[in-house]
Amino acid sequence: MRTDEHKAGSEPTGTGPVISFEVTNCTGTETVNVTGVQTTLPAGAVAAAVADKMSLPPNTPWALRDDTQGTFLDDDKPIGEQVAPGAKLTVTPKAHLGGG
Amino acid sequence: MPQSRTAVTRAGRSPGRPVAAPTQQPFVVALRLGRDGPEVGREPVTEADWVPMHSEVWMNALLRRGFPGFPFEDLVALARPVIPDGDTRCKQVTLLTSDPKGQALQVEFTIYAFEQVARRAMARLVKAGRLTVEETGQCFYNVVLGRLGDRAAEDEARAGPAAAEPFQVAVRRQPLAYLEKPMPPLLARAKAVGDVKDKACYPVFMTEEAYAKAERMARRGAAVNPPTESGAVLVGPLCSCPETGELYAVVYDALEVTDAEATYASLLYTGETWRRIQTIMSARQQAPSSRGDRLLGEAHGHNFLPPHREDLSCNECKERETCKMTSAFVSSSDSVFHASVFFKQPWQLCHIFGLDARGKGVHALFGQRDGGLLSRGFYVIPEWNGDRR
Repeated sequence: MRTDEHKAGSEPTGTGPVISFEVTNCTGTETVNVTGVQTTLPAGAVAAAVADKMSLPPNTPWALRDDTQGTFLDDDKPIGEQVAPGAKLTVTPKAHLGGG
Repeated sequence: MPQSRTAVTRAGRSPGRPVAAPTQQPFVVALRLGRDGPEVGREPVTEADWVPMHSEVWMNALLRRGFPGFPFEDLVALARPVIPDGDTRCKQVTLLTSDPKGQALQVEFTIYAFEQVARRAMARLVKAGRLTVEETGQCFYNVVLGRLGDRAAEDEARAGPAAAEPFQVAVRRQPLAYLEKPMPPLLARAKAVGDVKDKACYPVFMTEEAYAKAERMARRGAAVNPPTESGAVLVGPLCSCPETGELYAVVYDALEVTDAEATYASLLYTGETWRRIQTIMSARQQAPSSRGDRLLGEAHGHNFLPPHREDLSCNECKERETCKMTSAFVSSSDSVFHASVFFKQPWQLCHIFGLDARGKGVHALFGQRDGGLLSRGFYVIPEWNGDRR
């Protein structure tokens, strides 16, 4: 594995504009740089792919959360409409505690 | 899930023990309808499924043996199935590794470490209409070597959700943050709660204040009308003892879980819950006096009575001196939450405050072992001065 430092930003490519951002797990123990994401991809699909590449548990559905606002991204909406280039996101499991 | 041990031992064949060499064959979980019933499906054990077990090897063979700086990413662990003669099913799986000094070590796991794989298999089969929800209650599983024999699952395992996404993910290596602090002075003033002699469990110290805060926050929901679940996250550093090489945790604070969505039997951290926790933790990690702080786990209340069990003589409750029924257990939701939130963090703690059948407060601390969360002991200390000392 390697450490890549990218200048965050949105840039057009042959397949349309892409953005880059940073994703951390809930407890802050692991951070990844995500680059070249097509802005038209649904946020839910991006969350699933990032979780897979971070080898997070496949049994759990995952969502992305904007660290600044504390809000979860809408899984169905394009990520480019919800995330600014260089944003800091958290990949969060859709899981709850409890005896029920 | 029965209690079991995953203690680290020096590698070597034990006499009379069925063993095999590390295998290149894929491990799969075979699901059966009934203990000896027909096989209804197979599920691959994926790379992600091995990570919790690898993290325990990292913890027990390296971090707890004087190598706290050893990166998880550098761990090499080979899986060796333990298959009794005349059988095709794994009785255990042994993970073999070596430390930086070349000492070969092994950590053993029972097949309970593969329970999440079995749960995934059941979910997939239910979704495909090949198993009913009722039938999942009758399912048993084995761990075997070989191919899946199930084209759909094989294709799904091969593809993964990321295969079609054309973007790059680069992991930033972050060394484990820990403090170097001798452990004997803490032990000298510690009071044991539960079984602390099990060497398979790393030492956990909790200050009286953190313990009291965690309980207060976990039980706060019981006073709400109607009662709900409530909780806290457990905060403190991991420490490496320079004298013994042992890794241990000190829980010295608890942060209340606020803005959560709580019901009678569930507690959901919202975006605002996480935002607050992460803001506080980030500030603490930047302050010299609390630079080693991390989320070590969580505490929550099961503010409900255990279920009435006629088969366990609940009808004779008044005549019995003691009651062993308790709601301080790890639910399947708790397991999934911990496996996800504290992924690759084998020091994770789950402290549950519940009730016995007579409504008396009981509690239990659980830690990661054998791929799941098992009950464990801990020490209570008067206070922790951390880096301020």
